[in-house]
Amino acid sequence: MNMQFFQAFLDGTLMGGVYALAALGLSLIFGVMKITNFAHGAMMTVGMYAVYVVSTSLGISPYIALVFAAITLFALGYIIQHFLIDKISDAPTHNQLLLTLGVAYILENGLLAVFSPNYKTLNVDDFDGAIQLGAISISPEKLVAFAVVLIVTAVIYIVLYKTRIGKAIRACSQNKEGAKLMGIVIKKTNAVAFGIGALCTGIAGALLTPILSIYPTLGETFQLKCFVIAILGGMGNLWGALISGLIVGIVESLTGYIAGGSWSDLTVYAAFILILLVKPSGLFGRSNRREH
Amino acid sequence: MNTKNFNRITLTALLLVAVLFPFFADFYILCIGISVLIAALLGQSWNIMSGYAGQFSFGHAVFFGIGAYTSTTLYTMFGVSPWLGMIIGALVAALVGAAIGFLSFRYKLRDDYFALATLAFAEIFRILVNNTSALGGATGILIPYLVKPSEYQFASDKTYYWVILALVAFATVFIAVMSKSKTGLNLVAIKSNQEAAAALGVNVLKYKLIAISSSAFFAALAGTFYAQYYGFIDPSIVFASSISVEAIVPCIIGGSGTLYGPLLGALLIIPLQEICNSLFTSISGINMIIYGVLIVLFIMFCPDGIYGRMTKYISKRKGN
Amino acid sequence: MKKILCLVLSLCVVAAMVFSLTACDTEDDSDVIKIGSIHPLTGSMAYEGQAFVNSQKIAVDKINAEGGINGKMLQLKAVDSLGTAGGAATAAQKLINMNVCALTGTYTSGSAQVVSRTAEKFSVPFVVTVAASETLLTNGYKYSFRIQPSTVGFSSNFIEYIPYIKTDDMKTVAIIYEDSNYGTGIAEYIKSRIDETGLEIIGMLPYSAKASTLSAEVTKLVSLDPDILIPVGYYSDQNMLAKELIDRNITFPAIIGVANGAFSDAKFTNTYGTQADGFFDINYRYNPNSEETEYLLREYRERYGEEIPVCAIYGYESIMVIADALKRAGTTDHEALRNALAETNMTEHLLPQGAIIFDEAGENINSAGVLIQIQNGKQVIVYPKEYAEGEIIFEKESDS
Repeated sequence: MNMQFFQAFLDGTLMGGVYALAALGLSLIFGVMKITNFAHGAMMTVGMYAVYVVSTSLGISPYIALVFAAITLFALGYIIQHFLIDKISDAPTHNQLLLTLGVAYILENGLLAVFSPNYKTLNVDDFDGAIQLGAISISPEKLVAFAVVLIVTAVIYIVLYKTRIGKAIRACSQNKEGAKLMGIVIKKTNAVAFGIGALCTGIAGALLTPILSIYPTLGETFQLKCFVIAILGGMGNLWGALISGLIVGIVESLTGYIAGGSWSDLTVYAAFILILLVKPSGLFGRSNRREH
Repeated sequence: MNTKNFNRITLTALLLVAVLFPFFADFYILCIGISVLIAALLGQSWNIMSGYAGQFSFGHAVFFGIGAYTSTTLYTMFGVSPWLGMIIGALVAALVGAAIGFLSFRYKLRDDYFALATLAFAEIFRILVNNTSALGGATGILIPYLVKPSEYQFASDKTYYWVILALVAFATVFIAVMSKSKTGLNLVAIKSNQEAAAALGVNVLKYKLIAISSSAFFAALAGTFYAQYYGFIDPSIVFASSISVEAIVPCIIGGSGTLYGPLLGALLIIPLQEICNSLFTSISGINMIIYGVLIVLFIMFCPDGIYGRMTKYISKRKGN
Repeated sequence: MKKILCLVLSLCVVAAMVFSLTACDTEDDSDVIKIGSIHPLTGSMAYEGQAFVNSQKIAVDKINAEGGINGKMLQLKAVDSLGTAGGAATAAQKLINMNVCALTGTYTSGSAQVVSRTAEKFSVPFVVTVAASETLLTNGYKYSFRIQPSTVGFSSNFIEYIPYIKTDDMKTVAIIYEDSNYGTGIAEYIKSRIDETGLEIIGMLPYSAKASTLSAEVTKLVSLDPDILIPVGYYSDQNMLAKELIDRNITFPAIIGVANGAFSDAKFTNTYGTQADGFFDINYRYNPNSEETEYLLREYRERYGEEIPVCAIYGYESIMVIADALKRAGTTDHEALRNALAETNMTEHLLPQGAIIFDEAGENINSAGVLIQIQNGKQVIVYPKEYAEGEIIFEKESDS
């Protein structure tokens, strides 16, 4: 294996981690509410702008501003679920989907109206170029992003498995009626779950802010990728989402390296369809049974 | 006067209004009328597959694009009249629809998973065409500018209007006939409970394939019309996810699974969007925010669509 | 019966809406001349779209401050194309319905194709602000005009300028380009004429402008190790590419952008300072010696608080070209204005080119891009000589 190939593999892995975090949020939302959230990409962009605004106005590192983004997004997710989606929880799937699409329009164009469409680039002073290890160079931003992804995932795992609200969320995602009988307040649980899902994508967006120049519709580019990852991982399966995120990141990077980036998306979608056909529940669709 | 006669008379009157509309409208209103009808045709197409048969598609752009590309390449490369190309394109789209459907349904893809698979198919087609220089690649295909009705190009937008109106009428009559037929009843049965329908001996796969193929057929007709009316196509235009959204919105806003729902939805949502664009010009973005808010409001307060909402309201009043 | 009643009811609502639409913009306006502007004001192209409208407003205000056109004031009517072809066509008809004397637009090539056909149908002059597609004016339209160079124009400029950059030990080229109309058009054309330059193409790397990372493509470039790298793309993706190159400390003997959305932008040099020194770009630009340039740059900065993106100078210039034709035509009649536009011979303008003259197809025959190089964190025109602000700096030589 030559060094460049390994370099592409490594870059794909690091980027895949960020995809995974965004998709994890989507997966959680789907697992609990059974909602395909088309506002996910837009929420990610909100996270990016939150970091940008806080970081530039207070003059602090984006990695500290990230906390503000997480809080903002949790609140946003909570509000969307509490005031909008909850009201139509019995409606057919396509209604819910269109609702989230409407929310996406509002968020994206809200950002456009407030921040103007001008590209914003955050200059990060924390790092000085890439880390060179022989022929391999590692982007410190991506490395930090990857580390944060692992930490956030671990925290979310702990929240879901060790806290009251987390157990309630998991109960809701497995059996709503049963959860109700157990005295769990579905409405609040759903809102918290949506909030956590939004928080994940917000942090993912925040982690990308130092790498990308941001503009209001940027999140759209992550939307479909998140769906692909969440489904491959088995909707509602956190570890599945994490591993699928890495797989998608690596496939994308290697295709880009071998054939050119134009073909990356094609490979990802084709793999997605193939896997769906062979295993409709996703690569790791069944594995959450064990966790009962 | 009994109900049946009343219905007939009103419907005829409405159709007459629709047909005579170009004589009363200026060209700008006429062009919005054409946009409404394109959305209505897409909406009806989506209605067959998703509204009646319950197979939720989020990638109708794939059929739309196939229609546009088939007729246009046949025309610009082989001189085949787009009239014929339109039918060939629709048949190709129906075949592709059947293939996508066969793969998906055979392997039991349902609901969101199926919707996302169709979305992925649309993206795959977009990328493939974008990288195929024989099909014009990313540059797209410019249709020669000649006014020749035999080649689907007219001097006046009025004629375009009547063509698309006829296509919409065709789709609507098709749905009306289909929904009353055995096929339609089976589709509704599949939508409400697939397992039960299968247990009763309904060939689920076959009827689902009929639904997706006929749906694809009409979406492709819209695609060819779009290409001929605007005179230019490229992959980012005809395979765009915005086309898929345009197929869904009128149908859900109007009332999915109803005969007139998509027509009403298109009639409402396209002019509304245009009004948003005209009224809120001071800060850009506001137009789309209002549009988004309208969609959210419709979903919140008219979950069955306008058509469903109104029929419910009227039957309630009658009940009192 | 109730179903039908519903239909009738909703039709009434729609009829009311249609009336409200026609009621818009019917104010008496016989003493103003309206010019239509169709650009994407929302969506992913909104930044450039709004910049066009901004610069057009500056042009309109300037003309009005100088007394307007034969005593009449100009008025800009900007409509959002929504970035879609259908949206642009509707916008065009809406503007024509408002009695605009001419249309301008549209930034995206698909929209421009559709608007040029609409303009032809309604016999309304259409001046392209920016839309690079080479096929745009190949349909024999009489009413469409383009001031800026097409993809072919930029690529020809590349072939023309390369001898000034190339040193004898440069043999190989790799092109990394965004895969839509504009990037592909430029890359394919350069490829078709590369033999004339004595260079050899060793890599063509298309990528999607929506890509969230270009790491893999850059790694590929490292393994190809070309002597000349040609990046073609929009602002955000090319910015990503440049960041990757700079952070990883990857250099090539020459990096020559063609119509590069980032390299010519002031934001780009503000972000990277001198780190991007040595990058070339062949792109549209203003004439640094023109007083009008100075006015436009200053006015834009004062009004909108940022530097003008270079593409937007064509927004300003499109209004100037139309104003020039209006003065000569002496009327807003579409046919007369079209003829006046066809006879344009404009020497007073802010573009780095000779007189603006349109050929039979409507292309500006003197249109040209210039060669800029980033030096000390600033874009500097280095070729052609008459517009040059400095000499080419060959980094390799100065380093060694």
